[in-house]
Amino acid sequence: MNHKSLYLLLAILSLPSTGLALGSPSNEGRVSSFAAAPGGQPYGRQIHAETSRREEPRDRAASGAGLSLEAILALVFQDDPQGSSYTRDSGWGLRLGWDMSRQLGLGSLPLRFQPELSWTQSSEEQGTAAVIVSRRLDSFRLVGRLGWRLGEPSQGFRLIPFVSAGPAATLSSVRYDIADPVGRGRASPSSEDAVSELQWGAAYGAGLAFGALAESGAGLTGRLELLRIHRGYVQDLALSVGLGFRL
Amino acid sequence: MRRKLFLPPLAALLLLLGCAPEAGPLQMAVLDLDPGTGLYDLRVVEVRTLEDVPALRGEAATPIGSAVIRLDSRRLYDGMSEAAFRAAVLSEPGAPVEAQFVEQDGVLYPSDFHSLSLATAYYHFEKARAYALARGLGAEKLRSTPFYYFPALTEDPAEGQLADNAAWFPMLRSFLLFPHKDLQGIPLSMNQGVIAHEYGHAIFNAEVLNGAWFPDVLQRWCDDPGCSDPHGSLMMGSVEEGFADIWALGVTGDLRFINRSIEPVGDRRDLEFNGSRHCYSSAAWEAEIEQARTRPYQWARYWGSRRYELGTMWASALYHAGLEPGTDLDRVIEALLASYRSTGKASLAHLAATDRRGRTFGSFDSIAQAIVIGAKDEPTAHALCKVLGDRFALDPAALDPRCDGVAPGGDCR
Repeated sequence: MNHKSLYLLLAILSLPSTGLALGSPSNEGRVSSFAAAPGGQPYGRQIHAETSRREEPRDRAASGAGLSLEAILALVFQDDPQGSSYTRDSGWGLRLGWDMSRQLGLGSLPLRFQPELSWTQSSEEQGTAAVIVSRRLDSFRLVGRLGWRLGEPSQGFRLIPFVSAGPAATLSSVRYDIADPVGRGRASPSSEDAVSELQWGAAYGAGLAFGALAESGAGLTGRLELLRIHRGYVQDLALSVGLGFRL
Repeated sequence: MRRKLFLPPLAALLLLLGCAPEAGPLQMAVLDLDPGTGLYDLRVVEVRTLEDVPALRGEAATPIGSAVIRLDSRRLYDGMSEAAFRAAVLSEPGAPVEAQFVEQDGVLYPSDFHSLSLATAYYHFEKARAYALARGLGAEKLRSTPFYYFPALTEDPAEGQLADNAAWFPMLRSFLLFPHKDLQGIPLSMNQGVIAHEYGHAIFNAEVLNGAWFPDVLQRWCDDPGCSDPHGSLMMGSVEEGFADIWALGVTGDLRFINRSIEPVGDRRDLEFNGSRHCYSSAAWEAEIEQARTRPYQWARYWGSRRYELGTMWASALYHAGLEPGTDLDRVIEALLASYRSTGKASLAHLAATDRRGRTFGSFDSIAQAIVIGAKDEPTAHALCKVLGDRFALDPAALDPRCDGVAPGGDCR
């Protein structure tokens, strides 16, 4: 990670939890209790019902903006051109997520839905002194994450097994450094060429997310995820660990 | 209703799972000799014969990756069927390769080292094959021949895996392109000369030895433990190397193709005339064999490297014959290919099949005569008689009636 990216990440993680005032579903029932009772029911009974709803444990994730940012470390298993199963490479990146469960009316359910925009970068360099090929893969993914919250909604610590899927685009940048030994001593003994292509594909996978949230809904989030990423006709497998903040 | 909601995004997602590039003639970037600079560089070429682009499989070759081959030098494979041999040595038969590309302006660029290496090797096989077909090789010969790419091959477990080499291996009817380890030049798999050299071996096997997976001539010519009459087997080893070098030169025009990959070889394989290396005779051949007999414990090692030098004599002679007026290297190589099988009783195939002890095949006269008879035109026959007569101290008139009155060249004598 370069310094600029690190500072940006630290700046975002150190933001105070402002809540961004997007509204809270836990207030909605209380407002209706001041309206006329439907079906001519006695007001007393209506108030009792509202009171008991207020006492239900409140899901902490229902508070706050639901935005999360995670740093990613990934082990990327790429299809090996030689026909064996894979080559291994390491990568890193960032993930931005927005928990839309409340907007979709899933607030009271354990079902969670979160669209995510992720970027990971991995690179490799191979060859001999005379022929070196370097490749960098920048993978961008927009996936929908569908999870199931385990445990009580009021708990600060939560585990969410999930599946995810969505479109992906990978920018493959390749550089070739060629230096024929016979050309040593000549004016231009070596050459460099670089090409790149944005390769479309899809990403899908599964994992386990965790969160340690305060009453405000802000806190730590993270995950362990196994993701299959298609770029053109090639598939990569990424085992990633994410750690970040939720606002 | 729900199904209708889910189907469009699912279909869109499936559409994003891309397809491989289509087969057929295509523009591809590979490592190739730049005629302008005389150096290897990344060049965009047309690859014409691919049937499966990611697998880099086509008429020219079929790559196989990740194979494990275990040859046991202590084990005798005599009497085994070809299938039993394959089963015995192929611990892992390997798998189709899957090269990766990025596409820019309609050109496929291999996107990692192995993909570049594989794509380049395929292109070089295609070029070597096209050259051989143009010289008269039958279209069905060596079609889609497998090449094992970076196989893990061991002969002796104590010595580890073989690396930094390339080979034609008739027992698997395949090429072997080993991993690079110490060599840091142009990888052998990307060296057009090396690929054409190995293709030359395969042509020799296909034509002279009738494509035999386990040629019987070597056993027939060395049927006793000490190989008391080694002329045939030694000549076979040296002409194979020399003829393979001339195929490499024909395809590439590169006189020092080996030095691009193996710098320590120096000028030992140079084809430019060198009086101290390229002049020989039947008498010198006999004397050398006798001298080598006095050190039987060094026999294999001595001839293991010497055959390349003897081969360079043949290759250099053929190269210089191609420089004579009225002919060119292509016509000389056409004569060479014709000498393999097309010239009836004078052909090397006939000699190999009928020579009981290897004495005839093991003489310079027989080999030179077969090549000269293979020449389709008089200037080429004259050129061959002149240069071969000079280099190996042979009488041109005895090689072919067309060479009556042709004097040997004066480089050596």
